[in-house]
Amino acid sequence: MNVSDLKISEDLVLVSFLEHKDALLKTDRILFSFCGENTMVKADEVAQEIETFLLNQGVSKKIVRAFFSILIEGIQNVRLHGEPVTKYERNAFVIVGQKGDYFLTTANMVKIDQVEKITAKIKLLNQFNYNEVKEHYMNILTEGSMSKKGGAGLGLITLYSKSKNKLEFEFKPVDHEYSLFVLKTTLNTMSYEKNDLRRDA
Amino acid sequence: MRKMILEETRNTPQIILDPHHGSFKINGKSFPENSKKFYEPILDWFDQFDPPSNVKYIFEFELNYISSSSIISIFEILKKIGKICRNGAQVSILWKYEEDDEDIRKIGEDYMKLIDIPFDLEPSSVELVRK
Repeated sequence: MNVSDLKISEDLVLVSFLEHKDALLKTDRILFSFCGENTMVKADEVAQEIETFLLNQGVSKKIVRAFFSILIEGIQNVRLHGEPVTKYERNAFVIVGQKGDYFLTTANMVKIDQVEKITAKIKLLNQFNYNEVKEHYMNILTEGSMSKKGGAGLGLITLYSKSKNKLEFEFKPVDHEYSLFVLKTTLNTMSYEKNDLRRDA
Repeated sequence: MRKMILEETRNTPQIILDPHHGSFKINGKSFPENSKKFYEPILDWFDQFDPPSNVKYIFEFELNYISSSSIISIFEILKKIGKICRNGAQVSILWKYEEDDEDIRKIGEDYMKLIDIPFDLEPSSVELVRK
């Protein structure tokens, strides 16, 4: 299916998914992709399969651990916090791949009134250095109250701190009620390798 | 006090809370989709646990992955153990981690800073790091 064959209004999620995937196919390796209902994608299955695959490929345990964590937090986020909007055939997508570094792109629908809040949260995180993010983490841990869905607000912090990279994100308006939240987390492999080198020296 | 035993699953740890045999362990990976729901009965168990003060209890944690929401839930458990300790029972925490697993070690260190109970960090096959 060609991206240009689809009108955005008809299926924004699929168009957005294919745009991301098309761009990736040129230079990247795709390890997993999914486009459909947010409640159908299972974080534990995806993360464990990719963990086994990467370990078999000889990728260092430290990098695999960090990426496993990114996959669990990112994909659980889609299931827990994505709005299970059923009026569209698809309401979420997940792409796991490698372009030099390993990355996870997720997309899920959120209510329009959440856009500002999520934007502020990520912008704040993206400014933090290691000490600041640690302090932020400890504050949330000590205050730690959980939502009914079992989320505690540590998910985005974990994505940011494990990836050692800024989180890339955008919102695509779906209709008057929902927006598609697209989030890309790229693991900064180099920083993990540097740590190893420093320790070995 | 009844014991609570839960088998390990793909995304939840093995739970052993057995006062009769003095065995208290949480082992494995913890990344249930809904942490709150998974840990609720365990927290309830702790609410009912009222140990005698003449017995020493060690609560052992040996986890190799903890998701962010599980970090909060396990902290809730530690706070309950802290309360038991303040009520006069002799309790301590043993936090085990794989020697090269910085993440689990750091999580243990963070808890150690926040919880005021005897807390030992034990890397596998290395000497104990005591508080």
